[in-house]
Amino acid sequence: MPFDNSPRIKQISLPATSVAVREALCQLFGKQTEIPLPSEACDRAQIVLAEALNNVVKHAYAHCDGGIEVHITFFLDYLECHIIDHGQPIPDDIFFVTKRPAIPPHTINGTFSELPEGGFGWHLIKTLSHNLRYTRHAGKNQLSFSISRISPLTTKPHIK
Amino acid sequence: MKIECTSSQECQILHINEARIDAFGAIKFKEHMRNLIGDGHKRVILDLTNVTFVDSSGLGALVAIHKLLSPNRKLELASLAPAVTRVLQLTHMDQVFPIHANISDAFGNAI
Repeated sequence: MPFDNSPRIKQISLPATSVAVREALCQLFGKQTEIPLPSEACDRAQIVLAEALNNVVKHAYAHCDGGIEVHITFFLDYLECHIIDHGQPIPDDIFFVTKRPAIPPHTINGTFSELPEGGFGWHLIKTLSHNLRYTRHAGKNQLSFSISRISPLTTKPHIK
Repeated sequence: MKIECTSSQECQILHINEARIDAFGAIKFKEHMRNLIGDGHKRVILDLTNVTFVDSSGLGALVAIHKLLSPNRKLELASLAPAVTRVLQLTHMDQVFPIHANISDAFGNAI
């Protein structure tokens, strides 16, 4: 059989709720996954998509209901993802500036009350994706990024 | 959120029988953990064998439980899936939680 390396496209529409996000991720990354990347790359894709989709649920649609469209194109060495919604825009200071929340040194072995409990989402998205871009046009948000077969990180994941 | 609890005099082990600690389940998970954690144990270990995925909301819930146990105890984590390890490493939270390869390892590495 000839090897087919043409890109395939997967499109998912979901309501902007955290349970729908969970179901979409299970459908994409469950045992019957169609994603033709190694499991380490699938983990990265799942982390980035989870954070991006939950941001839409929590922030873009904080004050109203709505829907989310996810378009994924599968290439041989990477995935290209587009997430589209009609909610509130992403503020510039969030998209351009977000850094990893700091862990004060004394919280590692001492007082824990200053440990951050949130703010990790954008850091994970920015660290694990490539070519991240955001556009706002005619009331529509589009966040796009790629996930490559090769990890953008030098740290190796622990083997279970 | 299904959590099974086994305890000895010194140690409480909480086995999470769910595949995901995520934005959908994080608040319930936190509440359930608050109700289950007793005062009398020196160590509290979370067995994550069945958990394949933790997102930033799930991580926030783990941090909240860790704070709840402070200042005298820490939330220890055992049997992390690669995707869970990845999230902890990227947020540097792997420096905060004591992490064990599995439950038997947790008893070889008394904190």
